[in-house]
Amino acid sequence: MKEKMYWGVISFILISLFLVGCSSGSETSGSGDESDGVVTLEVWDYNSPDSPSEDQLLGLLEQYEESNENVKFKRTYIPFGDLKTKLLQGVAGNELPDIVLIDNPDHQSFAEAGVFADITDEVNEWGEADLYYEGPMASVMLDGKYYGIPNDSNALALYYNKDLFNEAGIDNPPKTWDELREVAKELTTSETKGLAIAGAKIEEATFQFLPYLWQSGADLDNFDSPEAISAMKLIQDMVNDGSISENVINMDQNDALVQFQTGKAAMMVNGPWQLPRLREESADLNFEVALMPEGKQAASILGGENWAITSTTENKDEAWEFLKWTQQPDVMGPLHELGGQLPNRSDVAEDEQYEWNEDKQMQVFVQQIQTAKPRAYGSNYPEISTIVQEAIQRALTDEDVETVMKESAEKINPLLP
Amino acid sequence: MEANAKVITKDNSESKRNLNLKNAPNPKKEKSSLIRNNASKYIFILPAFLFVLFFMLYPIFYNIVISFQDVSIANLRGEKPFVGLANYVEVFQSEKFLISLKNTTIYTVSSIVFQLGIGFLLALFFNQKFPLRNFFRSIMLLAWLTPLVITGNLFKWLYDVDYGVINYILVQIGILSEPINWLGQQSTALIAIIITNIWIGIPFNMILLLSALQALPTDVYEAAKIDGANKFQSFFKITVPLLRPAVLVILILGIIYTFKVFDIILIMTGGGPVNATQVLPFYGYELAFINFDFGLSGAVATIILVILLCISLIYLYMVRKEESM
Repeated sequence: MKEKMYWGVISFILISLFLVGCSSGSETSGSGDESDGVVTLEVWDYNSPDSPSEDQLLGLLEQYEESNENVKFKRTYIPFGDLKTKLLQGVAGNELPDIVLIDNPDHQSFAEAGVFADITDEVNEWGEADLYYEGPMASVMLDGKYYGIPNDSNALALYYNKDLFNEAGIDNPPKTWDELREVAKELTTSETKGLAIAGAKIEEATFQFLPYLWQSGADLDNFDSPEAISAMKLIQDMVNDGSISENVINMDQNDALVQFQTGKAAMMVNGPWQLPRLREESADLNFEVALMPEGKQAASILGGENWAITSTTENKDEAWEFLKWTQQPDVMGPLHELGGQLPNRSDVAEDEQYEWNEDKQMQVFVQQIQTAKPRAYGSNYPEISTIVQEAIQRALTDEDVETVMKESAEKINPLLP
Repeated sequence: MEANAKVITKDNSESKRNLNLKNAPNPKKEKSSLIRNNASKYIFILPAFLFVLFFMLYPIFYNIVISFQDVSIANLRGEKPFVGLANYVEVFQSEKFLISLKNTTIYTVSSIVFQLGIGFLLALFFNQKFPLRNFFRSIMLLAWLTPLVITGNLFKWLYDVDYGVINYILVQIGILSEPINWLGQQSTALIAIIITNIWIGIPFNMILLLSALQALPTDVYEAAKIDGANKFQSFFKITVPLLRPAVLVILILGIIYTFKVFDIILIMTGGGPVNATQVLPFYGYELAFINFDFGLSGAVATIILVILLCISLIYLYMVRKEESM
């Protein structure tokens, strides 16, 4: 009697374990369910809930479902910091979605890892690739092949507080490095810093520094050149002048925004995604946007999201049809307006019916994008970026810039493609 | 023993029937019935055992395997070549590893010394009887209850160079002539984080020590008092030796917990400025999830595991010594 009970308990446990294993298995592998002719496309992205960018994406999916009865979407929100980890887990566990919307500097890494499908043939057949700006397009390519389509773009530009400029008797935003340093110094008082940027040990620091590097004429492959040193020196000098807070070392781009919003910084370098927030939260702040100051040449950095189709999808054709559809000017234009993002196709960007061609501040960003460069440095970019972050932090804590740049260049060079 | 034997004899009648059929020899009979008798007990621990197996032992084992392989994002799906000790060699040769090992050690030792020291003093204090004692005791626990994300951000603002309260007070009372960028310079960042962690850990140590203090027998103290011992004598000759086992446990738990520091670093400095607050767990995280170098990260994690295992072994050794005394 007793014995029977033991085995009963054991088999019960085993059966329930088995059932649990099965049910979770069938749930996750259901991305390609085509039983009734309806294809479910799984989409992963990091547009945070209730943000303008999420409204944009959900609008897109809904619109497509309405016009295409055979396609349904299963969209999963994954926080920005977790998307990469989640994709890696997906790779390891063979449970990737069909479509991913990804931050553009990460695109090449995942393409090289074989996570994204090569869609070169499809893109060539489509024939619209030439309409895109060079920078965004370069970020989806690896070894001359296409692994996705750029969806939206942003770039850094200079925000400045007009009231504080008037008080200091300055009429125009700085156009060159010398002017930038000068103006920032003049604007600095006991309560206000001249300029706010991000220097915390995260990707945002690299994002904010690279524009100066490119403006100087240098690049990551000659990080120890006199030009590159001059770029780092500019930042260090401004901190030593007192026109950038010492605290920059712990500030991210949102902290910079807060400094600017509260009048603790007269200028800040930031992206267009802050515009809606500034207008909503700081209605009485009298600010303007200007192009980044120029060194030897004009440059800014390109941010934004790319579409990619995963290599494991069973619905590549349907996914590609959807991607193509999102890129039509009359779909893309209104939705980017809604999301506070900028297009990266010349035909949409130049279309005068859209906000960014009427809105003076938005226009600055549209113009800035044309000189914006992507972070297309191959699959080792994340590691390179941590070295750049370290270099920035060393310069900010007043180490000798030349030594810092030399040592960093030695570490960066073997990682470049 | 006696109880066990009873169970065996009681069950013999039942098992005999089976064994007769199989014609099994006598000694085996006893053994099999012993297992069967305990089967129910094994079933009870089965869920916990499976959990530990799948969610703790397997990941640890897998981590050790990975630390001997070259795993990066490029071959996560395919063949992972075995590279022997190459990952360990590379880790030991990197300057970042040595810096993080040094920082982790400084962080752990100084945190534990002050947490335990101050916690002990506070425990002695709260062991006295005074009005509102329980109220203040529970208030103290708040530091331990607050989520680390909140504490970390709070201290980040307290330390701020432009608006921080700490700088303001120190400048006002004349200790500093100008504000210090606590978290922003390499010389002070680690100290600032250690101070934060001490603040967080004091109440936990205090509560554990307090409960140990309250469990001490009062008659020993009375006897000592009658024998003419003064307060210091009874503290050093009675309280301290009696508390030893409790302190040992708290010490080991504290070291293991503190050695694994991660969240507070992530929130307050991200390992910066430069590498001033780089610690081993954070270094491992950075290798895996920022640089995508899983093999190296596995090596770092395994090294942490080995270090903590050694500490635990020392603890076990000391406990055994204590017991045999």
